[in-house]
Amino acid sequence: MLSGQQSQSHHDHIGDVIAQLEHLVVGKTTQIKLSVATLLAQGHLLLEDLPGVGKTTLARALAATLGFNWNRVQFTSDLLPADITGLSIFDVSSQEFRFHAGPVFTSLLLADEINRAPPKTQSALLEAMEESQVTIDGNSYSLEQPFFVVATQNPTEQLGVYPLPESQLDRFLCCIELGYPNSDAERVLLTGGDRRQMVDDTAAIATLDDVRLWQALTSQVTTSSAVLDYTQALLQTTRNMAGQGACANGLSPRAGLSLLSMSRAWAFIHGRNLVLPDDVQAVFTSVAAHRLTGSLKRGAPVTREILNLVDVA
Amino acid sequence: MKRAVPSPKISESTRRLLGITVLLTQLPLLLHLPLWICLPGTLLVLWRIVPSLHRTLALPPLIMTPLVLIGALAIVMHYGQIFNRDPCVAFLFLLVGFKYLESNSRHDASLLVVLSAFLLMTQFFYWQSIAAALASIPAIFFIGLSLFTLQRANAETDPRFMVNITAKLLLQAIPIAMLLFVAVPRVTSPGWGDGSGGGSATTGLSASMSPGSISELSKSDEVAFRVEFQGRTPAQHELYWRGPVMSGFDGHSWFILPRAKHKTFTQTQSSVGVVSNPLRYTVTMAATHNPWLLALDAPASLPVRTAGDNIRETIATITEEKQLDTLVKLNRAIRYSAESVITDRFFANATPGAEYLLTTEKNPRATKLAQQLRSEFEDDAVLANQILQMFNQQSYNYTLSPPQPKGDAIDDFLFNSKSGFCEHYSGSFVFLLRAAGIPARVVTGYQGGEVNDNYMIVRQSDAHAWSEAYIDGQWIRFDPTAFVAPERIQQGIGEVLRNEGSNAISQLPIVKSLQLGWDKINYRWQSMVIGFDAKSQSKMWQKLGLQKPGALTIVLLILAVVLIWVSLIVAPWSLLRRDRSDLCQQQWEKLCRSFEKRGLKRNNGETAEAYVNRLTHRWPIHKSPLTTLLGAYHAGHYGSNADDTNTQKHYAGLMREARKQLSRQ
Repeated sequence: MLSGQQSQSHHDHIGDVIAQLEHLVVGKTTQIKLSVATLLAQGHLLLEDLPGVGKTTLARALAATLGFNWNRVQFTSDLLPADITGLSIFDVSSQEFRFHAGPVFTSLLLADEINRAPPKTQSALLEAMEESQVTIDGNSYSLEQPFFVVATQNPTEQLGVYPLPESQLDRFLCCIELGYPNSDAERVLLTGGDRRQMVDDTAAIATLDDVRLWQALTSQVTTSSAVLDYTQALLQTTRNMAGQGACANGLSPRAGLSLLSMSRAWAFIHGRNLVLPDDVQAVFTSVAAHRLTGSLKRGAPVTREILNLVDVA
Repeated sequence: MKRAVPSPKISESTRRLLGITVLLTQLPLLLHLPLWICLPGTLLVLWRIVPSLHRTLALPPLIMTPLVLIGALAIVMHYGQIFNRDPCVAFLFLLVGFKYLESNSRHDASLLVVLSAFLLMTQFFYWQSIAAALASIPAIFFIGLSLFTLQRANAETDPRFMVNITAKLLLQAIPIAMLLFVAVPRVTSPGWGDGSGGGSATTGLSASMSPGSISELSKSDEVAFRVEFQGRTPAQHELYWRGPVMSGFDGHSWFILPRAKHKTFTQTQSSVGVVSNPLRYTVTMAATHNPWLLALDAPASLPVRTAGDNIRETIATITEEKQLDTLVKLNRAIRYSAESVITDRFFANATPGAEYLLTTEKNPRATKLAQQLRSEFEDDAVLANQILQMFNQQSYNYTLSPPQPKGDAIDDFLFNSKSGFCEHYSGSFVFLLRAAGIPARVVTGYQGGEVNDNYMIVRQSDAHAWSEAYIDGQWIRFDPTAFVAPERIQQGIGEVLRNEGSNAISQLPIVKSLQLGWDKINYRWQSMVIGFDAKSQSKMWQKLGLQKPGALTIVLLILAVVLIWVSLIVAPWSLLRRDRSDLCQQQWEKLCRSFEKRGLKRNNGETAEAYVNRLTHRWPIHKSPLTTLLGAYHAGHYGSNADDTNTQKHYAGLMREARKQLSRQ
């Protein structure tokens, strides 16, 4: 464990990171915090939104601020798994196969419109997310840590989409939507300079090592038995609600683990070494909604109802 | 005089709750009070409950006071007095209505609830059945709920929560109430049971019999008394329950001759003959207020009150007419055992006097008929039989609804209408015998009974009248009804009623079995609850090994049992409900409760931080202790060592300090 002073300095550092992100992505404090928390909880982020509300800007701002390398893959219906993971090509000069690493070999991967790609391609990415490695022609290639995927998903009501199955939605720790900015924020966006330029001009204020350390510290945040009771009650209630038909399926134990690690990250970025029910409540919708109903929009009312239903312990 | 701080006003919802409480307490009394009191008493309450009415029609004290006085005056005029049971109950009934009308403050409301509780009790003056007890349950519940609401001082508490708590408290109180019922010394004879206040016309046999009086009684299904036989149960036609014996006649009605003329015996005379192997039975009878008891014809011993094995008290004497005169007032239910010999004749102790021959100048045709019979038949028994044959062979009718007699009742019955009930037959029979010079008298009582399980029910509808004639030194029973409607005697009144066509529903087998089942429950109630008197109580103490426990012993015993009940049932139950909460959680719950009382309840799913934010927003003055408390709660309940008892004690202590600071502010 770190001493109080050291942990205080880490909290301040994260505060600086968040402040800089707020400067780049205007008026989206909650979403920024959730994104950072997802990273610290070693999960992946799913953004569910319309084009043009700042998904890419958020991903790029994260990469720039934290000093990450980043790649972007635009998913289309003819995208092949090799287009993501890379492939071995026969090198005539050396008379052997040489591996050409795909865009997945980076720290931050922005997977745009993930549900436009066919399921085979989707699953190639999801394997990389889950295993942190890529297997090509019998050879396994490990991915560098941290590896953070920010995927965007178009609303499933649109045409030409392959909706992610529940098992794959489960791989995304957190699902958020950015939504339209409020009028003040929009005014800043319209009058301010080019965001892309601003992001490019931004200097990194943290390193990969910082992020790794924060991830380790996050996993050490205390969850008392009271919080575990509360989490269990929430999980049980989702299952009861599924039984009553309010949502497609209840939360799995893995979802419970995700909820806890996300709560820890939330507590950590708020400068606390213990998880409060407030933390669980703050992240519950973004962790549970897409797992319960397959979409944030449909799940949010259900999660709100559950939070009102279950009393904190 | 220094005026007290005005009591806080009650809210509209509390007022409505009080209104329901008052109405429910008034409800059972509606059956017992005259309509002209019931109507205003309840309307006063209803008026105030309907919100659109009372705003437009508020009553100032200047109008209210005269109204109350008018009410009191009307009650005095109705009852002829005020300091008696019935007028007092009626006045209280009205007063509760008026009190509700003017109750605005919490102080008034508390007084009103107490008055309602008292009013609810008064219904038992009139009515002590199971139905009465059941009818008071809703009122008791609402009285509890009202008290609880007043104590909560208009706090915006969830009504469902209040109802739950009240129900739970009442349920927990039941065993204690039962204990108090059993253990607190019983008042031997409550003065209020005395019906001398009048107004309580219990149905039953009366001291006189006129044409129509028994047929009227026969329409009532009420239970007159219940009997348990030790040994065999006699056959239907042997069941003549002897009640008042009527020897006096005024030309229209038969009545009991004044007792001064008769010798009474405190020892049974052997007039029945050799009393060998008498029939023993126990009678349980509700309060009748009559000066006689009933016994199977003919009584062989004096009835004794039974309450347990050891207590035996002779409660009646026996007259020459073999009527049982009570020595105690029958102003409450009584249980006595008696012995009888089933016989239709017994030797007279003395030659009957002239009063048994008395007729009147009225009814000349009947007198003429008797004289004619006398001249034809020398033998008394033959003459009597001749009259019975006349009833049997001429077109005499047995009916529950005889026509109104015109002119001389007996003449009209014998020669014109020829239809009547047992009182007509027995009365005419006795008249004819007397006119023929044979001493005779009317005996009233009950005939028959309905076997239910191990006891017998005798109803008012079994009321009967028969005759006794003095022939050859013996009083012999003649039942003229048996010659007109033998089924009445053989099978009971039910058969006759079925033929009459009335009351057909009550003869259905299912209705019958329901009736009998209900009666069984009622019987238990009578014998175990109502009949639980000082004597049963002392028997209970004896069974427990306590001989006449003193007041201190009883109090200690009650306290001990209450303590056991609370410590074994109530307390563990409430512990069970908070098993998973630690010390800090307890402190936190205390805080939540205290602020809930102040009107700000923690919502379901609301976290401590959110709740404290809400509290500090509402009461900024409490900000500092609340923040301290929240920090301690977080550290003690959610912190890294939250499962450690010492950590919990530490933070719970901090929270307690903060709460103390809060209560000082």
